[in-house]
Amino acid sequence: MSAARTLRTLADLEAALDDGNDQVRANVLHAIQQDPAGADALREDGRDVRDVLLARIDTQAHAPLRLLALLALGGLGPDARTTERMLRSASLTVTTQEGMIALAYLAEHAPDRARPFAEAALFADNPDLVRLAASMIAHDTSLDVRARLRIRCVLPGPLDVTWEPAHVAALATELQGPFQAGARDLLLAHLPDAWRPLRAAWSRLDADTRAWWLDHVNATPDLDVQRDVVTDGLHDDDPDVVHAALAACARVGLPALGVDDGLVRPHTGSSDGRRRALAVRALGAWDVAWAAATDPRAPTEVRVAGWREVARAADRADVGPLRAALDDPAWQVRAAAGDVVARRRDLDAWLHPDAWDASGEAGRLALARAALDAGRDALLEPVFARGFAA
Amino acid sequence: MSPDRRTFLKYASGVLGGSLLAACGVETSPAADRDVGGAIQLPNGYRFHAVKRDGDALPDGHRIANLRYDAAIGGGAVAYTAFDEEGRLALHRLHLDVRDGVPHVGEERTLVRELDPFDGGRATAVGGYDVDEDGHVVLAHETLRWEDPIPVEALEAHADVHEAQFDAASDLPGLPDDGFVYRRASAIYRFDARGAPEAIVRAGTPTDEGHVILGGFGPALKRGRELLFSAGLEYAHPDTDLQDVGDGVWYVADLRKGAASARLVQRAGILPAAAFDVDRLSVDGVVSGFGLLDLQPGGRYALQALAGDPNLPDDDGTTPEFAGSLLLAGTATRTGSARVLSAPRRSGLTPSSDRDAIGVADLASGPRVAADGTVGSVAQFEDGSQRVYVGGRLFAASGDVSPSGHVLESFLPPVFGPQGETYVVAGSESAMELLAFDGVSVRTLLATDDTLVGDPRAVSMLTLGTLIHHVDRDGTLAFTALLDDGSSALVIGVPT
Repeated sequence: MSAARTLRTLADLEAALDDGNDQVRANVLHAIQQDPAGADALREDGRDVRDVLLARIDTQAHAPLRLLALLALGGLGPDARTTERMLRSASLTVTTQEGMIALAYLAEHAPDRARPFAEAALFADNPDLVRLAASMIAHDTSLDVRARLRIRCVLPGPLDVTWEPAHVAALATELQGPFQAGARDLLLAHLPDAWRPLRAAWSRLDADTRAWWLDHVNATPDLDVQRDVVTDGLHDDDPDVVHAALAACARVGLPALGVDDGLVRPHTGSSDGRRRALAVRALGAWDVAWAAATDPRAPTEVRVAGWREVARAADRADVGPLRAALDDPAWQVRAAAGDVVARRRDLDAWLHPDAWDASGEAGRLALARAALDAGRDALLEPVFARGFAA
Repeated sequence: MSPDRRTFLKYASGVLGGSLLAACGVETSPAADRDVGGAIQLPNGYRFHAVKRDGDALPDGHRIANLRYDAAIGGGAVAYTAFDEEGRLALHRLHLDVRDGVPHVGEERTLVRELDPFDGGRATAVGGYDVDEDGHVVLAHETLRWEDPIPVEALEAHADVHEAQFDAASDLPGLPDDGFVYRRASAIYRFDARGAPEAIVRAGTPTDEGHVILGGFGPALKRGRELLFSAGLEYAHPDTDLQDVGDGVWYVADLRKGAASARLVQRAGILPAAAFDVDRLSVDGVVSGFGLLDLQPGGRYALQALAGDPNLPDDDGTTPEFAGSLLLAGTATRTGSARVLSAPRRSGLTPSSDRDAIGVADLASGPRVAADGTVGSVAQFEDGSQRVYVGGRLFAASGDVSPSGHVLESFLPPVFGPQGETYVVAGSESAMELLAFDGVSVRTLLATDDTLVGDPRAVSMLTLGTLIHHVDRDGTLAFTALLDDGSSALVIGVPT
């Protein structure tokens, strides 16, 4: 703990700022921040506290002290020397916070000189500087569309844009850039008119963005654009994009999308199990679903997809294959088959003690789950009562 | 589901071969009325088996005194830690083979045992670890070079040596109290199928960006060839010869390119991206370090960052007092993509306005990331209440009533399954229960007073959520539990 010291002269201040103890220097810098007027009153031989600070900012080995010195300097108010120093900090951006401190000072005391730095900083690598710059010039209506787009990716809000090709290109860039999350939210919330022109940039979007679009295909207001991107997605070279397109078909429905089922059917023969399963779900056709559900050589996820589609018309399912599926080695199949049983009108028959006894242990569990999921707990009481009695 | 109904079903498990039904969610309509596309397919039920208990033999010849509250599963392997009869903590791995609904323990290995020889030194106590999709165990670990003790004065004279840290020898059992401290070396290790450790990142590694990974490793998560970890950092400013020392979070996109290819994702001492607020410009509102983290392929991450209070400087007058934890998320491959999804009030930081953000809240524990990038976390508030958020949406909160009728108070971090299903262990005044959410309804899978297969003792405490990977790609669960006689068990939940 260092002893309290009083700074009465500029020389006292200099001596304290040259102290070898970091704590002493930090205390002095805090004191200047707390009483800038008092510090500014210390003058000797035409020099003032700014000169003292400017001579020492770059000699501080520890970043917090350097930043404290910069803050103290800025806190002394507008001054040509300070402005020059801040311009240097803004251009060098030695640290994120140094750039922030500098730009904040310039925004308040030298806005005309700050604007070029802010416009440049909008596209800097440093995200915090981008955000600072955006907050500084967000209300400037004279900025070009590229800058306004970047600002809205950082600071959410409406954006009025005429979608010329260059503007679409800028949006496509943002959707694949560091502020992707903000760009996606902007597109979803504020740019309903952008989807159609953005369609022209489809081939220039990366696979992740194409898949994201397909995940949000309902947000596209124009049905023909929905159809076109899904159709393109079904033919995409990237498997993740194809999966997203098939998932969109399953989620929205082929008729609603206006997509011909002939585009989806070929995927049911894919060697990619996930693609095949999604195609089964997307088609929703009984013949495809039943074939998938009962194909013993199909991967588990394909058979599960089949049974989940069969559940849409549970009463059509033949009892034999369904009963076998309740005892399938894969729990995923057993669970999906149980859901089919839970939806059948003849659920009582499946839980008759004779039918219960005919099932294996896994099948009984599936039947119990079916009864419970159907809200028919009472059906279980006879078979459970027998079990308890035994 | 009423408590009475669950009790009925629990007793019915005898009729169902010991399986506990996963049916009976809350707020659910009869199956026939539900959309077949909506829910994730959860198993019909589970059988919970204890594969390790107190007193069981360990692969190193010792016996389990008690299991610690952590376990992880992946790629047919289960890793867990246990204290042995000598009071030493060790990390073990066993090969798990589930056949006909029954877990069979295959080859077992002890990977690291406290104070045993390890990587040229002596092992310290194991902290967090992970099991990747190939069954490899990943562990950030420090070893003591205690065959070569260095007097305190000598070490202090070389305080800038990267691998050297000061610590009291008396903190570790078995060390002589002779005024010596010991050189430490730290690294992130990957244990392959044979249990052999390979240091994939060593302290002191200079990176291609010009910084130095100093050690002091926090958690390390590996996904395929990607790695995310936190560690001490010597930061080289790009435009000057200045260097700062602090904590950082690093990302290796392809481990084949070596640790030097690690990119700095976050750095303590600066405001995190998206947290900037012009009106609060200050050097005080900084991140002082990092806590737990999670990673999904493609560099999608979430992490816990330790925040400072801009109004309360710490003893040194320049750094802020700890003010809680921030939740940051982003994509490591996209510079500047980090977002603050939640921030405690005292931090003075402004959370993102993105849809998946939580807002003003303190993070109660490490976040989790689902395969699709959805972030799950537990937030806590000044009144002591907690809330579980998944993708920015409220999943459960203190005061909610569980499917088995308990008023919930607290939560372990959520765990995501292979289909995106969410598992959460929730605690009430008198019980804990493992909940599963299939996208439509919440189901209780296991709860206090339930029993394990072939064991009459009741479960009293569940710890699923203390690590990242508690569910494998087949839906098999792994966690530790306390039983009502005070003993512990490594539990495998097999879908049935």
